[in-house]
Amino acid sequence: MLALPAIPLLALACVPLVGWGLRRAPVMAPWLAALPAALFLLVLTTPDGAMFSLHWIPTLGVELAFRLDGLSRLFALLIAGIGAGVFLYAAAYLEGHPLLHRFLAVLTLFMAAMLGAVLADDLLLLFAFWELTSLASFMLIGFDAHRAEARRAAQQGLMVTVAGGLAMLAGLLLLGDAAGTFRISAILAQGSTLAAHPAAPWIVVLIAIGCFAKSAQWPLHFWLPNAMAAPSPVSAYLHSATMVKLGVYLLARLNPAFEALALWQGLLIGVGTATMLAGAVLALRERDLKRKLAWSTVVALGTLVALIGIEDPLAATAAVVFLLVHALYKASLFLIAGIVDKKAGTRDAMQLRGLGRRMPITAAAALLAGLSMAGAPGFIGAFAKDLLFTVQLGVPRLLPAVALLVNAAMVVVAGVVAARPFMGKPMETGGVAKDPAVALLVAPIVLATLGLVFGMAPHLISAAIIEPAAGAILGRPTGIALGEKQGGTVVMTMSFAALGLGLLMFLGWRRLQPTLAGQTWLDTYGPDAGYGRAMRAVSAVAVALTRRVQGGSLRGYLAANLALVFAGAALVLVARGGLALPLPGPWAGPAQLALAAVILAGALAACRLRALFGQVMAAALVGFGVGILFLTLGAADLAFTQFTVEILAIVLLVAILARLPFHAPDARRAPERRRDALLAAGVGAAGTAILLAVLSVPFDPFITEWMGKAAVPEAKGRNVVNVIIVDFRALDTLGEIAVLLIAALAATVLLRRTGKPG
Amino acid sequence: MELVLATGIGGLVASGVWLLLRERAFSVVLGLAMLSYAANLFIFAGGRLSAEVPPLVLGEVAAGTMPADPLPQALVLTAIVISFGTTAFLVALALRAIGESGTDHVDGGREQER
Amino acid sequence: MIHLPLLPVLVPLVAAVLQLASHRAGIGMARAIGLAAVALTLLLAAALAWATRDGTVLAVALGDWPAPFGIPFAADGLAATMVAVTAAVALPALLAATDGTDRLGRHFHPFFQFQLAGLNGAFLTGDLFNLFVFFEVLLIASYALLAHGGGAARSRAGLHYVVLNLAGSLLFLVGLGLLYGTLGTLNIADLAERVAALPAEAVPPARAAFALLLAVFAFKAALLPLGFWLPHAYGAATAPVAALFAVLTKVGIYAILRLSTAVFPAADWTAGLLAPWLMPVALATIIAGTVGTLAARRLGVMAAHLLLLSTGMLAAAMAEGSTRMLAAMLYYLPHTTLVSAALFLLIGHIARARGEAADRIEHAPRPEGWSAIGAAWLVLAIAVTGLPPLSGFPGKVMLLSAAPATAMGAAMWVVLILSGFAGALAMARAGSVIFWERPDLPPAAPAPRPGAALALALAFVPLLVLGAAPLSAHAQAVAEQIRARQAYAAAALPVPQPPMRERRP
Repeated sequence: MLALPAIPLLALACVPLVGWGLRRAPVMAPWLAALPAALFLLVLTTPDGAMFSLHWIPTLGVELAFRLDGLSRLFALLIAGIGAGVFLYAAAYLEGHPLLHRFLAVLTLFMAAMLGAVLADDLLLLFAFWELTSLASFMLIGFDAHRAEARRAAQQGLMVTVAGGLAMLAGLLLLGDAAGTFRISAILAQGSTLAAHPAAPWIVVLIAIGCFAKSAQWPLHFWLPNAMAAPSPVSAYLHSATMVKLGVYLLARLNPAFEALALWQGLLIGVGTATMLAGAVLALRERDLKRKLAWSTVVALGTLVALIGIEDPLAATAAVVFLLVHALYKASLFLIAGIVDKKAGTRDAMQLRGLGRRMPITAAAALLAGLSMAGAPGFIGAFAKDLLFTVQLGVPRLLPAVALLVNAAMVVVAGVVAARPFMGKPMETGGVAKDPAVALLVAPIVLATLGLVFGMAPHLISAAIIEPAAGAILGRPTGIALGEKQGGTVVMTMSFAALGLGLLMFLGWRRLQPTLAGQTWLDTYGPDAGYGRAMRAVSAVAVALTRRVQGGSLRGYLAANLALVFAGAALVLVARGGLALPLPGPWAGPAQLALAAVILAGALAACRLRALFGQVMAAALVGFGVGILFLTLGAADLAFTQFTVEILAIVLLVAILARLPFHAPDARRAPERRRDALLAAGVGAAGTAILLAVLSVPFDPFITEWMGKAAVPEAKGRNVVNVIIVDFRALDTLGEIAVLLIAALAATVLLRRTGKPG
Repeated sequence: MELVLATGIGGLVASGVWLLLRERAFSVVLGLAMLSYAANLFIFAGGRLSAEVPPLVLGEVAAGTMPADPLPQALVLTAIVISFGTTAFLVALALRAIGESGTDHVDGGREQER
Repeated sequence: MIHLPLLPVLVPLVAAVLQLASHRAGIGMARAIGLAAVALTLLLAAALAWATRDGTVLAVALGDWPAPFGIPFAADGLAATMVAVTAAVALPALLAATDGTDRLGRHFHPFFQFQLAGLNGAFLTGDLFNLFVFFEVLLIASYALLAHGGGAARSRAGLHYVVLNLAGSLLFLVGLGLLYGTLGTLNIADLAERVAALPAEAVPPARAAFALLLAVFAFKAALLPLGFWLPHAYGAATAPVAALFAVLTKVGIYAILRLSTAVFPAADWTAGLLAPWLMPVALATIIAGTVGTLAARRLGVMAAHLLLLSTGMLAAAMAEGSTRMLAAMLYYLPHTTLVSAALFLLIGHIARARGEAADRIEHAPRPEGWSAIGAAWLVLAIAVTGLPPLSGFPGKVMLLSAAPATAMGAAMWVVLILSGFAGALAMARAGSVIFWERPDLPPAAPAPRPGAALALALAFVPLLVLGAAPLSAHAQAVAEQIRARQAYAAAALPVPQPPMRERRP
């Protein structure tokens, strides 16, 4: 079954070819549409239930697994089919654009990722493709990067979908853990047992968040209209027909596993309904053609999510039909909006009038798509609408009323976008408004016509496409054939009521729109503004926090480090009752006591003195004191090294003292000094306590004694310290020499360039 | 002896910390020097202070006199040299920083970049 | 080759000495020697990894003095991995430096080689005091490299870095003195034996000594709250140096990992030395890194915070400590080190191409031929934030799925996921400012073509993805090896020691 993995991977492999080839030969761009067309055929001819799997990361249980069933076939056909139209359209739409090759390469990448996502049979593989689609969307929205609005929209879309995606990743990992596998088919085979798993609520909520973000559900819906900053082919392909449906796809895909959960149903129906309502109101309020269509897409996505939440064969069928219908008419309308924008020079629905006479073919295509959208009899949209009403009437409480309102709003949108611009007195357009080239018209016409064809001959898709897909959502065959009359007189009445109400609102839209647009609180307190506020707040908080943590003051860093390290070590000691005094050993002689006093006096003097020279002398006193102490404790080698180093250090320091200000006043204020004194005393005390504790336990002289014994016979040396340095631990000495060498080199490099001290 | 030494080391550590926090490049150097004396004494003391005899193998070891532990001495020797090298470099760096920013304050003009 | 573990230290040392000796022959000679040495080290690292692939531990007793009296060098899977990562970072970093960065000051090349010798020595030595010595070698070399190129900001950042690290080194010494005083040895494998046989009254000071050492390592790893120093220092370094420094924090991580796997499990009394504080500290580090990433106004500082963030992730994995988590960590470590290094190199390239705007995240004239650099940015952004399909993703998934079902595990999830999001936000924001065209600004001079160094650094990204299966299997094997302990102990301390040694009061 190599055809199956070939579908996404072939497309993926084409990405660099497209980028490279079209840069050299941009005239070949229209031919790229052959790729999705070929993939469409490949999807069509691959049998149901086809599987493919290859181990990818065995330690993680991740597989390169693909599977084709009714649901994924429907999606793959839409992706490749609409893709073919959009590629053709895009080549003409952006003809002559210097970055056409990059646009089409990213579009190809997107298509590959979409195909991969819907065909993947492994949760993590699906997630990988899922995030790739977000990325492609980011690059495509930001294609016109010179526009600030495009840059902002691209980033917003990415952030919302990536944030949702990460929540979803958490959910998917939990799901994989609960199910013991990442294979989707194996998870679905477990039936509804997963719904009873204790982690199920978490899984459901986290995955739903990801799907809601991707599919623009309220309150994460705000990014979608902003994404209309992208070129029209992108709006048609990504942001109405395919990518935004990916969330719907995953919800539908996992529905059999979780449909038994009340949480699942409540979440989907609740959020879906809220999304429908919000989208409908905002669609009525919008004047921009593309944004208006985007709001209506939000409505459609809400409808789909709610339908998946309703556990009923009819609902599953309604979801599939509506998904297909919406993809066809909405892609078509977006492409037409792109033509209108290009030819009439505006997308303002208030201004657009009377284009029908100059653009008759475009108008006809728009009419077909609009009628399908409005659910006119004879179009497949009518089936969808009847199914929707039938299902929604079955769910009491809010849904029927919402359905009525929302459907009426859709009629208005269809009218305003597909009819109004072409009717009435011709507007001033500067004379360029005419039907565009064939390449731009093919896709919208074909897509719109399909709505009529499927409406007239539903058997074409009923058993082959609709039923298998709906069955996959439901988890069992639906037994419903498209074209059977659904619902009764109530549905008929509702249908007509919606149509009537919609027509009424359409006629009054010129007055209705300004009233709605006047409700500025919808913007001020809407999630879009909230997103902006949140982003600014994140930056402000981050800057403030970072300034606080990294104040840039060495004193702060040092104080914090020393306090923490010594407090920690002392705590560890005290926690186990480690405070101890060593057994009385040989008492210190008077000479050693005097030395200790000298050392301490030197240390104190170094702290108190202000003159640099005095500080150096005080430090030298300490150094020589330590050296003599070594001498009295049987460490002659140490003592002499200490003396040598001390003399060198004094020479060095005195030599540079000439270049420094003679006095170095303490930079600290009095309270700071008090705090530092306390800290210094504490650290010193902690050090003393730990050292005493160490000295109070018996010593293990094993290694030392061996060295003493081995020095003469094995290393031929009588001074054991020297033997250790040059023989037993010669590597330490090598390192030590390296350090000296590097330090000397580095210091000369630094001092060579030193300018005059200020 | 242990008590005297431990107290002395504690004093050295305290003075080192105090000087480090003084925010003047030169004081910081001296503070590190103090801490380095203390660290060396820590290691040295780790081998215990049982003897006054250097660890030389000169014929028979006299009964009752235990030579000092040679290993800590070797370690301290290495540590002294390394500290000297790094401190010398620090002095050079401090001089350069002073030359460039015109102040011996360790935070310089407090120019912040992030 | 029985001396194989020594060579990754000796080769750079010899190279450094050769470079110093041939100083008058010009920079071309230094470059040639340096590149040859790094390439050779990379080969040696590969040979080490190959020789240790089946769980063999290669050990060398220096001067043939048996451990614990002499200093052993031991290469197990962990050490070999670290050496390989170091060499893999060093090659593109050094290549990048040959674009002229190495001329900004004197002796860049010897410092670079000394740094490598120090790093490799730290990873391979089996003796704690010797570890200190190599720490010093790598630190003094890093001080010199950080100051390389001059400038007030660099000197200032360098001064802070040096002072803090010197203080850290002194604490290291103190800890070693205390440890020797209680346990009587500094050989890592021998420490495990001593730890197991420690009399009860010596436990509290031994714990305090270990605590001190662990704190020092946490400081070197730049874990919060000890890690304030990192972003400024790394942000101030030249690009090749910052790239090499991506390995530097891993030395601290390595040392903690070594102690916590080779020594601590030998006795019960070491329990609680790491567990109670490491996880909160690691999570706090991730959060601080995330916040800093969002706050950064320069790409270099942003990358440094991303590095801090990833170090926090490694520490979190280590704190959790299950074999599965260690395997995830050992997969994540090469990825994050290489990607961070590549990011630093890319930022260096960007800063040079933008001229005056350098790496500040602000609009500036956009050089021509910018899109290749933009694509590289995109690739690294995906890799560094752990988004699919690049190597950060399997790493992150491994970390997430190894997290236990406890409150701590949940905290890890939240922090890891949020940090991934914030990283994506910061990278996207910075990328859109720097790469997307602005009609209001005049085009700048053509960008220099990305060199071989950048290409090489970026080439690791697909390699890490394609090799995800063998690499994760290798990480799993290494995790099991260091968990099992015996192999390392048997190689680093081949002669069994008397179980109870006489102690004198």
